[in-house]
Amino acid sequence: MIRLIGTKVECRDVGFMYDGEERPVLHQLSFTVQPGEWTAVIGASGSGKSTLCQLLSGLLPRSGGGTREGVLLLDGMDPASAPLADVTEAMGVLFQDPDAQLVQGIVEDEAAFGPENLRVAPEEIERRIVASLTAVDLLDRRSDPVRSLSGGQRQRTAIAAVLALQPRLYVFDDACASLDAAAQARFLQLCEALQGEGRTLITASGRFDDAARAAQRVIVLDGGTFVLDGPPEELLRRCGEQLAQLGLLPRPAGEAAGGAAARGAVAPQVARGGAAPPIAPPIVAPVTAPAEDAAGMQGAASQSASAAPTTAAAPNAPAAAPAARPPEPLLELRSLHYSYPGGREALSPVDAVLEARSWALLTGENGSGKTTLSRLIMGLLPAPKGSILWRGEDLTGIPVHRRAERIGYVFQQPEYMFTAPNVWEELVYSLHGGLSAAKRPEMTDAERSRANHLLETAGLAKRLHMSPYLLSQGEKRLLSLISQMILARPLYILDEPTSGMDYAAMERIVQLCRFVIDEGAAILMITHDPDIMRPYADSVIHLRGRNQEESVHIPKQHL
Amino acid sequence: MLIQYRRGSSLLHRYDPLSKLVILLCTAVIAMMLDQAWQQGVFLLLCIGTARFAGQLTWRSLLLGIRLIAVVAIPYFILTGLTVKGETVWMQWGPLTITTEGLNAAGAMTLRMFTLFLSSMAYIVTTDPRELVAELNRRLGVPYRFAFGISAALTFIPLLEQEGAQIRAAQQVRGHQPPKGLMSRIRYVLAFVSSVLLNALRRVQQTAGAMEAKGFGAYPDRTFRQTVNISPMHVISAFAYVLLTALLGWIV
Repeated sequence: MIRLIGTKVECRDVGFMYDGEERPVLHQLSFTVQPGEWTAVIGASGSGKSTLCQLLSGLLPRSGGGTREGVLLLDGMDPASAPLADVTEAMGVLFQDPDAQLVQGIVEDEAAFGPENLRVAPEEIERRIVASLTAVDLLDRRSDPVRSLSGGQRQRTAIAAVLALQPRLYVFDDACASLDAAAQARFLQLCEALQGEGRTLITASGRFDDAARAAQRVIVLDGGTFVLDGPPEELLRRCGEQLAQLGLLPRPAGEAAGGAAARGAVAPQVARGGAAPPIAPPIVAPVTAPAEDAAGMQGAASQSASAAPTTAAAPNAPAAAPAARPPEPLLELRSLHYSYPGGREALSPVDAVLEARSWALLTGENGSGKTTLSRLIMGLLPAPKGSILWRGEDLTGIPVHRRAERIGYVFQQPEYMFTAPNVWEELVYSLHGGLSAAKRPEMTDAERSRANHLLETAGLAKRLHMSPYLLSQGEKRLLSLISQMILARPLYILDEPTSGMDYAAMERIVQLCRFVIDEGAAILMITHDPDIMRPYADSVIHLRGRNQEESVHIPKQHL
Repeated sequence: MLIQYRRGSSLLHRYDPLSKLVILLCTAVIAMMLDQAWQQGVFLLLCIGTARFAGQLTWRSLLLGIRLIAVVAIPYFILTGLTVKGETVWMQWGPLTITTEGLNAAGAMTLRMFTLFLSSMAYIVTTDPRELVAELNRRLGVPYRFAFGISAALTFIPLLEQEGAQIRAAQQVRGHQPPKGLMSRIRYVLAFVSSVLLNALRRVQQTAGAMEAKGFGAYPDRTFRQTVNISPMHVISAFAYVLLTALLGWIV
């Protein structure tokens, strides 16, 4: 019999409005989470999940401002007004952006920070550091600076920092967003273990993912209110269609194309190339492969084979259609590798070829060097001479701004790219390079229609006057994507554009990619959603991580 | 990252943070007291020697530090050299007069800048901010929230450096060319600085929230995981240095 030490969560008619906004983000939310229960809150980008997580932590409105309505209680106390010590012991929260919550700079210090604040004895803190870093498989990096870690490893550090607090309630906001498959599987096991200890869990995500399937109860948020509530199996059985419409499940084939056409979002070019296939359903069974099980050529091949029946109904991407391909590859990588000045290897040698009008996925476990590889191509890191060829020509010595004429690059963190005060200005920025409205040349009709098409496809047409920083995380990603696509270029490199995205938003990304591919561009997409993206791709470059042999480039026929 | 703690095992690294802080402060006091250029020169060489050999700072990083502060120090030297009045005229060129006294004063002030900067840099590079916070709190009773403020200021510099590098990369990716001509240079710098500040502000806000979510400030005190071994030799040497400073003050 498990002793239920978990916190009880009670919400009655909870609503919330940010300062300066006119409409509430959340309204009339009422629910109770019993001690020891695992509840998954799912909702598309902008549905209010993150706001709910911050309300539960008390951070809103305590220090983030805004107005909360209704009653919110954790074991009978209001987190916004109760003493901080009581709140921290009752609940620990993982926020959406890992970089925003790593405050100490060294991995082990991040884990120690919370317990130190709660006056835990040094010996016990050491024990918790070891336990929490072991749980996220980062014990061997305990003395490393956080900035030397990859995005997924930073996410895992942030998870470890919350684990070390050992609260009675865990709130995880999009914890799996940039985790590789093995780390996601480990995270689910961890959640089960925490629940096994009698603790309460609330996990939030943008899809009906494995965490939602493993939870006892799923609450679906849309536009700030609950639309569905029940055990996952029951929701999947009864409300599959509604979940798909909300973008939380992949839409059945056929319907997606119709829906997209009805929205008028499909560009003429895309329509010519064939209706956009819907996002392929993920593999339903939870991923159980351990980290050591190399998901290399063999692994990838067998995974795609298991995905095949579910994707067979979908017409294939137009990129796969026969087209006059130039004889010379667009981009060629010849044993491209990179080590940091300290000597630590960030990328082991990779050979790959990318052709024009093709779509390549760049996959690999956390820390295998995906972002490093993309930065090398872009010239943001120095590559060995002769290791990156552009149409046969060595790119060495060509500065970043010149490479930017050929390559569109989208960062993992969209905020870094923002330079303009509103969505429209951000989008058209690349057309004039920062000139004031009076000095810049008039936009041509073609530019204007391209801009409108991109906005429409990204679903940002109604957000033109909003500050990019105020968009939801998914919208920020879409904006940074179309701000690059506004200029037609031969290659676009996208660093984890699908991370934490709901299926509807992913469908938009797919449409945008297909739009530029139809124009003749190639796409190199870093992703932790290879199962979802593989049906669209022409090849996969899989980077081997620690303890594995070498990276492989898998062409379409082997996918 | 020039001005940032680097792990190491040099003598300065092993010194306890508080004794070392006392020595740093006394160094600053001595630098303020000396008013002859040659005295400042000798003192600066001593400081550089200590940083190099006792702190294991590389010649390269010391040179980078000198170059960084030279941007301010050299114009300052020229201005002071030309404006401080003196009797022994060394050179005259139109309305400009250079006197020996002026050169001496300018030299002393400029060298002092180097000493203050390099000694602080040696302190930061060899002192683990975590240990400093823990010691300030444990031994001197400085409230930990305040002590963290100091350490946050120390870690904020590399953070700004890092954010700056990210934003510069993002701007290059957006096709920003290296600026040519004064106006475009100014525009480039303005756009860059405003982005860095905006992001830094956002970061500070987020960090404050994240610290609160981990119970920062929940209790008036907190525990520290690490313990610092204070050697009596360090305390004695710091005390001796204080006496030396007082003696110098009495002589000069």
